[in-house]
Amino acid sequence: MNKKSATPARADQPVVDIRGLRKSFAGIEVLKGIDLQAYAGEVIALIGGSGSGKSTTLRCINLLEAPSAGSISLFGTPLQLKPCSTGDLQIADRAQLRRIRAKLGMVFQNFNLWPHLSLEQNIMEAPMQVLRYSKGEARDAAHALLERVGLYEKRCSYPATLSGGQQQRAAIARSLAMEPEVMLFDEPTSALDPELVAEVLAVIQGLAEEGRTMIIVTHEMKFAAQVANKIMFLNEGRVEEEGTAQQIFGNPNSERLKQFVSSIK
Amino acid sequence: MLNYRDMSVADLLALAPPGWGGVLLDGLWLSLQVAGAGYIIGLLIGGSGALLKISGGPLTRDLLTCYTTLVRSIPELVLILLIYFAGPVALNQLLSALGLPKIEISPLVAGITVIALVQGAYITEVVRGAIEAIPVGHIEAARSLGMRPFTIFRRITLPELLPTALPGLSNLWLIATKDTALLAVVGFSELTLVARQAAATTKHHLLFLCAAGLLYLIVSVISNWLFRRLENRVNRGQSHV
Repeated sequence: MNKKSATPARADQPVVDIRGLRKSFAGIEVLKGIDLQAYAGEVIALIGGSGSGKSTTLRCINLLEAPSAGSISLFGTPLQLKPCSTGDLQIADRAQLRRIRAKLGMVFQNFNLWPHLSLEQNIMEAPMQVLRYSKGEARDAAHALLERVGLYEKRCSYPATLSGGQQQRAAIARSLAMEPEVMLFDEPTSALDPELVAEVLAVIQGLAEEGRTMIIVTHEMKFAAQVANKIMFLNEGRVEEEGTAQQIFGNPNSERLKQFVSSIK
Repeated sequence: MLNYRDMSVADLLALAPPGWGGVLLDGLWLSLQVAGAGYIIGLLIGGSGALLKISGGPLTRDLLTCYTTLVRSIPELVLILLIYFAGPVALNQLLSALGLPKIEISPLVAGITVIALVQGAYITEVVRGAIEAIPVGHIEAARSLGMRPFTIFRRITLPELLPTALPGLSNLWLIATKDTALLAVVGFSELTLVARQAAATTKHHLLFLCAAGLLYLIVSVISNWLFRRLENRVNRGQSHV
């Protein structure tokens, strides 16, 4: 582990490096020391029952959730954290956090597209406001991305007029517009009707095949087995087991994972 | 002494004296100035009040709760009397204690202050509710993309709160235009006061009070039309349109 902040990420160094991550909500500890390393090009799936801490872990990576303890290094640079009055850690350098967030694409369970903007405007917003793209550049990029997720014809529609699957594909396009180095997916298909799940998974699979670094919280076990290089099984705020899909699903060690695997079969 | 009794309605309402039409319109203009200035300052107070109430510390929140609770529970008429009569006394005591010259509060300033304070208190609550109605995920999405807090407010929060806030804000504007009538008690020549003067001078009470009522109605109708256009604009993308 390299802790020097000025050193650029090397190939043998994880782009996401989390050590000893703990998080308490109102005195209840939901993360009890999570370690997670993602190397460039890796796809990691976080699985586990509800309340196991997988979404909270993901949300701590870009500090949408303030961790209570632990260290987070992204792209070889540790996040500067300091304790705040609530007992959680908070960012010491807001500009550093914004720079890092711009390189981490996040896809939410509820899509979270902005309702007052058309699809195209949703996608153009962050590149124009954060990366200072011109309107023309941002629009060209948005059109290319909408084409890619199969929504070019819907570019002028507002989110409320679209199906959940279409909204989620647009939300993926929105985070891709920032050209992120790591994509974080927080249960991207959990809010979708069953028949809409496949179209979203196909887009995510396409991204995995491009060699993008991704961390995916999911309940789609078949999908996790297909796309992930590494699967981490979380249970009660700890990483209970991690390994390849074959190890996790074919040869689970712990009692809890055996139960989990048999319950979803 | 003019003989108003035998004058026709057209002559009574004529813009040039001895008609009173011009005086009524001047009164209306003053009313609109007070309402407009008070409302705009109220928007500034209410907007910042709402943001501070949501993101400020406990002390700021308590102070703001005191402000909104007090102002919303005291009748506007009492507030006007307080600010016009008691306000200058207190202010001048403070100024003379500091060795500064006395000042006088004009009815215009008192009027704008009262409308702004009252509107600010109500707008704080309207805007706070509208901000809290925005799904937290929409703001998280903006934060996760690296947007700055002010950019998020300008590009996401503000346009998303307007559809919820505008019906309340348009109500408050109508209330502001009519609260100006209360300034008649401090001798401010707004529409209601001049209408009463016209009525008392000419003894044509029904005519002039109805004329004033009609002018208030016209203001409301035009305001409604403008606010409806604004609502249609900010509601684009909403599923219920």
